[in-house]
Amino acid sequence: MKMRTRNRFATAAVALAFAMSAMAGSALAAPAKAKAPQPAAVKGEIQPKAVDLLKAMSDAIGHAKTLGFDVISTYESPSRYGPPLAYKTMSHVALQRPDKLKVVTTADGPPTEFYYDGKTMMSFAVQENLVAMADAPPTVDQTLEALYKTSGTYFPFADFLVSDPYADMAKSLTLAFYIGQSNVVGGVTTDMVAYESEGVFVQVWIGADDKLPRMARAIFFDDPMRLRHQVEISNWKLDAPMKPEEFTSAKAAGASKIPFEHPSTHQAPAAAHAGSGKPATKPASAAH
Amino acid sequence: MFRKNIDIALVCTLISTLTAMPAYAWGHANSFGGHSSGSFGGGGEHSNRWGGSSSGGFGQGFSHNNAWGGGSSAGGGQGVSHENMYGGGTSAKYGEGAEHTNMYGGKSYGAYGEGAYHEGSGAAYYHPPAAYYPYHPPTTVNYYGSSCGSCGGWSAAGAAAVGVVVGATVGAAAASANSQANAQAAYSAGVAAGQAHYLMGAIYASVPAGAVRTTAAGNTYYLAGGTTWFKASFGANGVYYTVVPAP
Repeated sequence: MKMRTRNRFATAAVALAFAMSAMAGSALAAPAKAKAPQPAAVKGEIQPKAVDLLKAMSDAIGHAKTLGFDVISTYESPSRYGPPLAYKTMSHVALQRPDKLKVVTTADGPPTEFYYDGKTMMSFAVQENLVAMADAPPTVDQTLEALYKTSGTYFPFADFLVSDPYADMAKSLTLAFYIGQSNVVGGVTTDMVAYESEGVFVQVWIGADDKLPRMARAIFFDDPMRLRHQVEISNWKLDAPMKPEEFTSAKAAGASKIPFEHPSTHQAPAAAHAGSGKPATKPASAAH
Repeated sequence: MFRKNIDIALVCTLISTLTAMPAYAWGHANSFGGHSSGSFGGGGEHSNRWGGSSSGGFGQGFSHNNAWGGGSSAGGGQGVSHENMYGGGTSAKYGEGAEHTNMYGGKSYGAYGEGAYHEGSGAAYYHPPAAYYPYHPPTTVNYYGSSCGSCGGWSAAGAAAVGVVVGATVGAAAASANSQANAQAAYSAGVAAGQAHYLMGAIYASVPAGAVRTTAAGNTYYLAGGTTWFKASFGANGVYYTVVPAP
């Protein structure tokens, strides 16, 4: 009986060893080739608890007459070799509803300042002492859109600036679920919610007590690299008094004028080389 | 007793097999099936167990295929091309510029003494109800691009900015059998000696040193080298410069 047991054990062990070796061998011999991620067909649940938290967050920031916060944005951009690098910017934001906004970006990158006082919007390149100015629509929501359309400028924390963030999400909300609580972000307890709207998958950390967003990460479904965009928000100030002069800058207004212009409106280079008079050199085509 | 020892040996073999598996995923791959061969004055050949292979002949070109779907090729004194698994590609010829196409369909061009031009990073549209939209193009990428030739962005051909003359050695550089190095060589090929020139209509992250700032029709322009005009614009969170006819 003992011998049988031993035999069975030995046989099973040998079989398992061969099986594992075969698995390991096959895995090593033919590693899965990387495939370009395919856009996900998202059609998931919308949990009431998640919706309630998103609404509460929306109310907390939408009902405040003034908002102030600091934000560190992290976004990925492909390196020359394909894999992405992460870049960070730091901005200080002041908003007074419905028609005043200031975004001062101090680092990294060239410092820029954006001012909107209800009538005029201007983007100021501090180091170059250049400013773009234009008449602006009457609300922050409309100005954010106008700014993007005219210049390509987009603030990744725009969802927390508009007057009714949840209304924007709800228009095309296809997924929302509750993840759990965290005690890591912003030094407070947060509720984590994931949602999908307009092809963007977002995870947001919402303060359990004050319902303010502390962090958010976003991934676009139609982005084959699934690059990540993240904002970390701190130093929240709600309903703090703000002066009208905070939303304009005499220094910016006095800088040399340049136009707002979306970079994508430019066409590919023409055949001729400016300044050289030589015909354009056609880059070599790929051999593969 | 003998059977017991066999059992123990089998279990030990099994444990060692299982515990050794994770290490297979990392370095030292050549000891798991790769091999190399070559002779003095002749070509070299290398293949690895992942499916990648490299080959080259003295004074001839060089090619590399990797297991992930990318490939590189070059001829001595000639250009080099590289395609990566993400769908991007890079190509260049000695004395000419370099071109890079990324997975989004965007293209970058650069040549020695020039900046770089990038078109179409994709995902550039306003989406009022949605949450996040990528910067287009990221100002910070360009900011680092002045010191990072491999970062991408508008300074994707940033190697051009550092002025390294390597065109004649592209073939040798490619022989490193490293696809990343080959990609770098492709860009560096665009750095080969040549005259500074800027493409009409192209956009650049900065103007050449010494460019003179002037104002015309209420807008700000920069004149470089006495003949090339740049128009400054504010877009995508920063200033960029477009080569334009004289205002």
